Amino acid sequence: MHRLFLWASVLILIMLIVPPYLEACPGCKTLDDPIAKGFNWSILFLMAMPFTVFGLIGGTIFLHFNGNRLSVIGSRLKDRFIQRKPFNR
Amino acid sequence: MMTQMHERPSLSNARLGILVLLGAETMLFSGLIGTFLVFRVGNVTWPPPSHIGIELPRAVTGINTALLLLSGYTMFQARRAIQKDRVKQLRNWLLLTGGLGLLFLGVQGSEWVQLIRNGLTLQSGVYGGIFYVLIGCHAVHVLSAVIWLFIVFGMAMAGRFSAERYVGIDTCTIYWIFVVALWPILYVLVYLL
Repeated sequence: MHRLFLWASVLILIMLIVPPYLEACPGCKTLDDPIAKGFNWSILFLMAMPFTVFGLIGGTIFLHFNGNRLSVIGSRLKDRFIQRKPFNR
Repeated sequence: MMTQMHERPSLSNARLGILVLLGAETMLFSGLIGTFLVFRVGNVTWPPPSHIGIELPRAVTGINTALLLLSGYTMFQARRAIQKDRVKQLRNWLLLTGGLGLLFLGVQGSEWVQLIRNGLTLQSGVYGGIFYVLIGCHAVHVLSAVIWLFIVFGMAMAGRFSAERYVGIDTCTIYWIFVVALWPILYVLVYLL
């Protein structure tokens, strides 16, 4: 606990001293600048794409293997809530 | 229990391969679109002042977009035809799809000739550079899809597909739909925004 507190203090000290020299996102401070806006939109777009791609591929594979089961669940829900039939057990 | 496990529908290597390929293609186009966004949002006036007189042919490209979307429908119909074992219909739909793809490329080619005559070239600045790289990259993909489609058409003529065996049609359809679905996004970004 004592050691953790020590390391946390050192980290906070470094964070207080270093910021003028470490700028992770140079475009973020001057968002009124059109070029910075351009980079901002581009970064946001590119950041979202890997998740979209892996999500779509993963979703396709998931639906391929679980499509039948999902359609059975879907038809049961339709029977239950739209056509007001009891669940078939 | 084991028999039930074996009866589950399996994802063929070809279909998995085409999904991975499309993932890579999506990332390629994402990089290009990201570059376009930097230049488009980064410039207050678009086209830049050096290209003020140059107008992109929005209306003709809009009609061309409709043709490409129609080719997506015909490709989908080709897949449905082979699922019902209608080989003659498959050939007709494939031929129609290939024709629409070639027509799309032809119209784009004529547009490019006109734009180059008007002074919009790859070296004329950021506007020309990003336009030809982005739209040209898509055109290369359409061309490769058309070549692939005609190879599949040749295989269909040779009677290589049936209702039980059509993975070649399936993978070609997935690629074609990708190329078709990508185009409206590029059209809106490059021609309309």
